[in-house]
Amino acid sequence: MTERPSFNQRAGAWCARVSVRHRIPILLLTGLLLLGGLYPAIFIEHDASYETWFLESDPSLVAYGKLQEVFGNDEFMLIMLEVDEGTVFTNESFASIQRITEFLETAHTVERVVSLSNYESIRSRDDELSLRPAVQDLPMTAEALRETEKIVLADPMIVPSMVSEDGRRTNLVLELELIPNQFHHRIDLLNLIEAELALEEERSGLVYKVGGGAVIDRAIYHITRRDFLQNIILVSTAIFLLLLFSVRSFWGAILPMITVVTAVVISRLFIPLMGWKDNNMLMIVPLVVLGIGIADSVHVVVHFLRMRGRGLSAEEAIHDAMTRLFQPCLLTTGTTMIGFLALLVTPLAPLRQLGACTSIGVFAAFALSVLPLPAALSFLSGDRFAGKAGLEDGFFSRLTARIPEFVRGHRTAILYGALAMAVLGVAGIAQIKVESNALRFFAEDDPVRILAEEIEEKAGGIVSVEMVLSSDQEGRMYDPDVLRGMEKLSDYMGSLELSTSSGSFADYVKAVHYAMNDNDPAYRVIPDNRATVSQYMLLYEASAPQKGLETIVDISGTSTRVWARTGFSNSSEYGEFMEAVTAYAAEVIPSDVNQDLTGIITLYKNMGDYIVWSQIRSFLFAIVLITIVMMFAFKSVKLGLLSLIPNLWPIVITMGFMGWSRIWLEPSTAMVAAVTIGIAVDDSVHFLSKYLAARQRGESERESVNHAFEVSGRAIVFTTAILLSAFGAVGFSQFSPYVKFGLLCGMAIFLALAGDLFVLPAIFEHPKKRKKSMVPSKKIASLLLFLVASSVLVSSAAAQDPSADPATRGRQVMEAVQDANDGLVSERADLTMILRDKGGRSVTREFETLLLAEDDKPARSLIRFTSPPDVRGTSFLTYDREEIDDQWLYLPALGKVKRIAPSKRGASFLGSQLSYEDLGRQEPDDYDHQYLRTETYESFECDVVSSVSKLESAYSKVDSWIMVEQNLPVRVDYYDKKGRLLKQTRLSGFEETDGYWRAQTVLIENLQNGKVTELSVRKRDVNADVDESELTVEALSSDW
Amino acid sequence: MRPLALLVFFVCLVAEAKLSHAELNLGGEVATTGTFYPREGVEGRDVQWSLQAQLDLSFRFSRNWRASLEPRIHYDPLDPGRWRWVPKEAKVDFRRGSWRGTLGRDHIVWGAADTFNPTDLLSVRDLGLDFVDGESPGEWLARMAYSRPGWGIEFVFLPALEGAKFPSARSPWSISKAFDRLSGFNFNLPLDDDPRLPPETEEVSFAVRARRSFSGTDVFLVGYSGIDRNPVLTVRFDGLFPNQLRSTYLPLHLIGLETQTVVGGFVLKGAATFRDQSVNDAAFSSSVFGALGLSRHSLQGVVGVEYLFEEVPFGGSLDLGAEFLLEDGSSENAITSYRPFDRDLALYINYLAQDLSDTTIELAWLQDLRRAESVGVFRLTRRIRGSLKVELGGDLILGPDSGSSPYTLFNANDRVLFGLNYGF
Repeated sequence: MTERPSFNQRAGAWCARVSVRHRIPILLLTGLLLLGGLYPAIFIEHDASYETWFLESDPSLVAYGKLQEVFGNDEFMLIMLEVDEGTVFTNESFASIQRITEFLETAHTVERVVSLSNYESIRSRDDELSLRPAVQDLPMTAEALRETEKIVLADPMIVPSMVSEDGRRTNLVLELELIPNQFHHRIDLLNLIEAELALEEERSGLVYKVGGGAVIDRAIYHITRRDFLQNIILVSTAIFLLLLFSVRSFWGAILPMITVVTAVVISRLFIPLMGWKDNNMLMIVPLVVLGIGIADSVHVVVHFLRMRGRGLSAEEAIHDAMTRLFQPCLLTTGTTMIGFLALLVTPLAPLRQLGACTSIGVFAAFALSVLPLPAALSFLSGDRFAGKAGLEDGFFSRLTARIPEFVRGHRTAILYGALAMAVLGVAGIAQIKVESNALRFFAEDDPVRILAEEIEEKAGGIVSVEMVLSSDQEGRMYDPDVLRGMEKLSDYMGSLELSTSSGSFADYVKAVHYAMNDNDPAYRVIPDNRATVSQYMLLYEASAPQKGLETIVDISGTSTRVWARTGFSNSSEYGEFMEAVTAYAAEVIPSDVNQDLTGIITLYKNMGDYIVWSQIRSFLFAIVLITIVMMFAFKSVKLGLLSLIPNLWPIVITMGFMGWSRIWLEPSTAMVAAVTIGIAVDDSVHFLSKYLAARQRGESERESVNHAFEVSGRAIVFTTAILLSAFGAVGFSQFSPYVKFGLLCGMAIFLALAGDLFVLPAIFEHPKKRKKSMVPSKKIASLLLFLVASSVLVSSAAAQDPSADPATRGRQVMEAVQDANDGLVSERADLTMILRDKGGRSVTREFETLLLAEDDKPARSLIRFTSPPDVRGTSFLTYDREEIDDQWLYLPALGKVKRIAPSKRGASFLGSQLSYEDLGRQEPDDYDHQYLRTETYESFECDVVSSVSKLESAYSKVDSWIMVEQNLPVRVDYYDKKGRLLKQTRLSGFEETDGYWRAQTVLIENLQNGKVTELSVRKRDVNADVDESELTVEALSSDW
Repeated sequence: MRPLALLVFFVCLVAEAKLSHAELNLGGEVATTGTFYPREGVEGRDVQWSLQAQLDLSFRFSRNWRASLEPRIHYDPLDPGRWRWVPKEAKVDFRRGSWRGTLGRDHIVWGAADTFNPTDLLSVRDLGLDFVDGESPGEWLARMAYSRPGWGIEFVFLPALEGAKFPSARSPWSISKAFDRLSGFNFNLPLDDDPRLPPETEEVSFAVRARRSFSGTDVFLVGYSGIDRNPVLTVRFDGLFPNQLRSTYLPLHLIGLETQTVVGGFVLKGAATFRDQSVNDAAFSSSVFGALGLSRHSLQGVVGVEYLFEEVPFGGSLDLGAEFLLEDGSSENAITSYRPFDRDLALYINYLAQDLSDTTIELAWLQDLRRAESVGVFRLTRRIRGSLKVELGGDLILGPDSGSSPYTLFNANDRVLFGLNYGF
């Protein structure tokens, strides 16, 4: 059996083989996926509403939902009319307002329109309440207009919220229906309104302006879509040009582009698959996938072109590229995915979705780079690539070649400089402020922001804050003490700086009381008893059924609301506002009345809390997982921890930069740390893997660092350049969150490059950091049939030439051992394995084995445990294959059969001191043998042969004592990589069964850790009657 | 079926007995588990102790015939019956050449995924034992399999439906309590776990599974026609008020595909099924599908990847895996949707120490990708002496307080486990 290749080689070889052998169907499938997926990937339903930022069960969203359930939707749009001269109390203005009001009242999703044209003032006559329209039949006389102006401007319920004190401005308020999937309905409504207003402006010459959340939502929607397309084109072009510049091959540039575009399509298709809608965060995904995903395909293409340049055929070049690159590409893909998947632990749905979709895209880019891309490359079989050096001697190579010496010359300065920057970063992190403000998403000169600010200033804010008051007692809201509390609270809310207007049920009560008392100003107060209020409300309902109070107080008088409107502001200011209102309400509202503060303002404020926790949770999650992966990847705890330094370092500095430059921690910047740690660590993986490979070959630290720079330095710089172009392009967006995200990620990635090229080598070459034990051993996996554990101890008489040289004689001795299984067909055995530790404690395991041989070599085998009880029935089935063995595991506790990957050669066999390498078939050709001497051991005359593996091995050498007459090994000494005696195997109780010699007992003693494994055969049947159906998957699951 | 199985057992014994091949194996285990529910709001008791004992008896009376019996008794103070008998296995196996057969009570598990197997149809889970870790109590069945190294086919006939066992009313996993939580009222409904089937529906089920193995890859084709052994819960009303929960079983016709393959050191696995659960009876159909929002046709799928690290820094081996679960067309609101996690990501880590303690550590995390809902599982087992093992563990269920998913219904059931297990 030949040496089993490493995981990297096996997986890569499989990909190379499959991609070349099945290239047509693979490319057809990929093409179909790309073309078929383009349309659904581009046209995904969009939802930019604020609800997407909250959990369905978020307490503030639930409270807000309840408010809407009880009092109807509090969402509205404002249409502002302002005249340059005079007032709006003219026939022309009234006619125009009336036309618009009538039009809007018929519009879909509009609940009610409140304007001057349908405003009614409250009056009383003969103890009856009546509502009088302010606008009579048009045209009105000049006197009637003046009278109307006087009445309206004297009504505190609509001044200044609906009409300005000087009468130059008025608002039309559109109260909107609460409907599902409202984002698109709101946009449609807004478009409709604007079209109608344009007509009206032509007709009347009056200028209207529209404000409201929908205006902001629509602007964000359009701006992000525009940025999306612009950035895609920019990034794609930048990457393509960089590739052309670097690889100097059209196909070398276009194939990675197609690969990564397909990955983008897959990541986008994941959105409808998950039942999600497109949102502002998800629109970043294509750019990020473009930037990150291109790396794998670039590595493959560059390596392919380099190998073709060195004269390899297309197929050979693909095989070489795949076997060398599969593992590092997979590892970097994994760490990047971890960074994005870390976002899954955040409560913010858009961030979770971004994490999931980007991970899918990054993985798709990897999968496409190892199958369809090689399949496409296999068509590039002409001679036109011969001699192309690719990146061999390019700009990046010259750049990175100078770095190692620079680092050596400035090691101390680099380390202290890095430390100082980190300290500054930590200090800056303490300055970070958690804030969010939807208006600041737009540039200061953006027309949307200018218009929103103008409307806020003149017509009042559009952000609602609601204090819901409730009681179990019916009619409690009509009590004077509660009403006076409401009045005070409303006044207080209106007096706060953030507020633009406020109101409450108390205003209506006062208005009716005033009207019922002949408009005597002394009666614009809360009545003294509940009965009066109840009667007033009955009168009001009876007089104005079309303007019922159901949106303000519930019918039983158990709950009501006090409201205020604010402009767009920072979330921390919202927090202060809420705290002040809550505290004041507790003072003025009777204690038996429940007080719940809600409204959009609470949602904005809570978003800040989510962001902080999202950042902390996702970043910690990413750090922990990436550290674990690095530890396993490099098989060293210390190296895993050490590798984090150059990756945490840029994050700390970037976050510190945010703090110092007053960039807020908001939704877009919250994910920078988690995202960049996953990307930044990729370069460290490439650098460290090359460094370790060199160290493992025995090169010095200096040589190893040089080697790492030589092999991976230019690739690191190149991929960072691509990433910078991708994230830099995001920085050209108009949408401020994208700009911050792109620039901060770009900064972190650039710093990560500096960390990998300067800080990491400085750490490695630091005198205190020399640690040879950090270099892991790289063993190649090999599966072995368990039975060989005993059958390897066989012999047959073979001719030896005593006069031969030591190498030839040593080989002859071992070939004699190897030939002992000639004629073997099958074998059954029951064995006992006793494991003992240094303290003398032991565990006994019993198992039965079954083996079928082909061509004298084990072809299929089964191991089934019979004791101890907790593992009873656990079985391994193995089919020996040329390339990769097939193995299945049956676990009786789960009752299922699972395929398992073949074990590594150096791994322990079932917790024993035997490794799979010990049990494997060992071909004499795989070793250099040296006959050492002949001596007596345990009364047997033995030839002592020393064997050194030509392949990767856990041992530096193996010395065997072979009985001269029987050619049986009786003792084997294994030496570790440092040349120290590791373990000793002693065999005894030799018996001949059906012409085959077998040892009945094998004792393996680890001389370094004191552990002992004893293996003894209880029953053996050589060439037994074994049906091949006993070694099948179905037999495995039926457990006999 | 039980008398028939016993009859076959003795006929085979008489016909085939060859004392030279006779072999009796006796084993079993005794286990006790203490479960502590630290969260407030869990009714019943804060600490729940259970005890179970199982006997494994196997008699191989000729080279080709074997009889097995695995009775288990279970004691749970929260179960009104306290002592419960679970006949896990009672079967006769035979084999002849490439043919293998089983007659009697057995549990058959199909599918290789660790979290959820859409093709695992043949065994109902005993939810009365443990809602989260519930295992199969076995089914009466007849199985015939033909196998060769490269391919195999398996036919299974299930003549009867026993129905799932549910947690008792006092259990923190009580379905009645879950229903109350979902409805917002304290109905405390009794649960009728006697299987309810659509009119004129037979209890008989058939299944077939064919395998083709290539180098490194297994592909299975699965077909099933009969009763879905995972029930849905329906509510019986008395006038306007509900008065009983009933376990209802729907017909199921299914085709599915499973695959496992090894790429490098990775094991990739996946399964997909198309399910048809149409019911001809209009009244029954509307009372189940209409009331619960279930879909008559659905797709279920799982894809997963696993990698084994054999040389970890701390010694031992470490198995890392991830699975993505997809179910399209199922109800999100059915209170029995404990099984179909839709669009969920499962991550798991299993560590096995390479020392005499046989220490294992299991960490699993199931994350619903659409909502911030998840389940975390931790288990540590360690051999103390001989065959005596100790188990420590905990489950963390994270879900919003409002909602109808299992995460929500049982989110107060975070728990800590302590167990002792002795095998012989």
